[in-house]
Amino acid sequence: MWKTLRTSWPGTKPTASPTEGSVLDSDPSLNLPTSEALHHLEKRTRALGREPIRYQPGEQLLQEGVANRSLYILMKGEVLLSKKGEDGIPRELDRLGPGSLLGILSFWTGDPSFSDSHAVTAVECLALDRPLFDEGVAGDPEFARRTLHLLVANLSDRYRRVVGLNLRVASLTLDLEKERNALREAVADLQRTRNQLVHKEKLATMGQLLAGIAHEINNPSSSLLNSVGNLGRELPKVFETDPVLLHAFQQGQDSAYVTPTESRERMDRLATSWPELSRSACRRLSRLTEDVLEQVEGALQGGWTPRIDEWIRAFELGGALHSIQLADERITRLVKSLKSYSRQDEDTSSSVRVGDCIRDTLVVLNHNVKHYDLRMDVPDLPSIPGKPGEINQILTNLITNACEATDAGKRISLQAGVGDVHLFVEIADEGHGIPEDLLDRIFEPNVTTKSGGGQYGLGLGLAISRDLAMQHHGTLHAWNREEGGAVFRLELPLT
Amino acid sequence: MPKVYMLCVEDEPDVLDSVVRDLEVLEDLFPVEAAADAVEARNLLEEIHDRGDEVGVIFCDHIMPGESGVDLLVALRQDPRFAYTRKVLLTGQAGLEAMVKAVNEARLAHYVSKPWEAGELVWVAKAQMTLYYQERDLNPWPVLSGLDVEDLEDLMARHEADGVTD
Repeated sequence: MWKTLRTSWPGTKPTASPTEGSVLDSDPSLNLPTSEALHHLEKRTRALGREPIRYQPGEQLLQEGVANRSLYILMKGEVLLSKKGEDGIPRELDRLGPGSLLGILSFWTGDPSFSDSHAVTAVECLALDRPLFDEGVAGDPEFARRTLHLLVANLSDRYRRVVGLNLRVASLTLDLEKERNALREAVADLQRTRNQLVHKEKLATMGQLLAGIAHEINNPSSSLLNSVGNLGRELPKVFETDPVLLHAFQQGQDSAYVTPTESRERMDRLATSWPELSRSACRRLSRLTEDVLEQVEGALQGGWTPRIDEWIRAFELGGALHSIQLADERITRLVKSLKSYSRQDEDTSSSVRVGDCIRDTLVVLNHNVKHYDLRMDVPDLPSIPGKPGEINQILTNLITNACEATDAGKRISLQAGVGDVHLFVEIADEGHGIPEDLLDRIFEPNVTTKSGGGQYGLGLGLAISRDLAMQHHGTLHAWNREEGGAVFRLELPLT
Repeated sequence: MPKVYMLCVEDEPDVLDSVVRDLEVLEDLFPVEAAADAVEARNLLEEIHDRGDEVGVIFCDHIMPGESGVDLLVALRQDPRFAYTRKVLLTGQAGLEAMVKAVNEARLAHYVSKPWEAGELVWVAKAQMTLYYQERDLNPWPVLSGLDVEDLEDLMARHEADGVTD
């Protein structure tokens, strides 16, 4: 049997027995010869006085790079062809069985052997050197015909295999290209995931920092609040003996903030009523509540007395205490917002008050938001399942985006509401809107409308926001308003 | 003799109040005006100028709703009526870019970072007013207690004849 030679190449006809006739009139199927044909060759060779050569397994027949003068016809056994690669390591080329020719190239061209060949099993072959070959061919047309047939069959077999190899290489190249593209995509995917992770990690770190800062501020703020409480209780006792000063002090404590415009109007009025008063005196009087001012103006008829100074001092003391209280309340609110805003990862709570999230986020983003005409329409919202830290993150992204897209002073509207199954938060700006060609892709990672480097413009904010919305079984959509600017709508299920 | 004003621009009511209170000690020499934003500041500047008075020093916050402090100062620098006004930035958070702009384009005279120390604003106001009086060649005698006299010998000598009254 032909062990490795392919006789079943697609398109080949079934093996036909070689037709007898002239040399050129050989078997058109070009298949390898039958053992009968080999037997004829052996007989003829023997008749010319040449015995077949035998090789033991492992024995070398031809050596790569060494001259060869014979054409070997393999009669029995199996031969391994190998060739050294550029690295000097031999690579198996082929395994040949009976009927195969060895040394075709070197025999015909005189070049050194193209490859190494070793016997795999016990091998028997005919070795025809040039004189023997010529003699054999000359004396026996049948020998010539059969040798030629053998040659053509061997060569055509090799040619088929080359074509087959080429096709295989082409198909492998295609596979390789596909694999390379897949790999490239996988790398890009990994890069995106990595960026998202880094971004999340950054936010988590920021959250921890915020929580730390909130905690650090909380302590002095608490002690401040405590002291102010004490002062509020103790100071009135100082004025106990003087009900007028006590009244002024209490009025100071109740005084409301006076805008610069109001303050100017009051000072103008005072300057007109009391032309002899200095501007600084007018300013001090302008801060008094109407109640106290009326009393002081009554006393002023007799000119500015030290008593009036005392009056104002008591009032301002009350006012200062009030300011400290207000400022401390503000710090307390800020700390509270920072704390609840920064609950990002250790977020164990399972329900969200979205109204609180909006408030906390606006406190944290106040330095940004205060440049805009912020319109709020946020009714009481029910608690819904979810993580406050993540809702804060979505809101932060949306509000920051709105600010960055919008010129200072223009309007940003924040509207919330409750439907049958969802509650929604809609953030509309008067900015440059989303470019039409990005509308479909705006939530994909690495898509950004922000040019220039800087801390923003990573193109991850919206991608992460939509992820977070989806984790809450909600949706996040965007569109452009006809009158300009963009709208982002977050919808979250109520249950 | 025109009055020389100090103008404070700050959007945080508490902070504006403290600035005014700090500067109040100079009020009878240099009237203090306060504005909550750039728009109000511009109106006040117009008013003061229309009365024939001047603004010697402006203390201005940077981060404010609407026009930023630095942008306001740059605009004033380009306005011949207020080009000489000494411009002081009073802020906790002006980025490098804004600062560069303030120094290069607004001829920023001084930077006070929040929170400031007690008395710092008065000290800054006096120093800046002194420079303003020198640049404008104004008679320093009526407001001498509000200026740094040791830097003013020439100006005082020049205006010896004008005296302390206007």
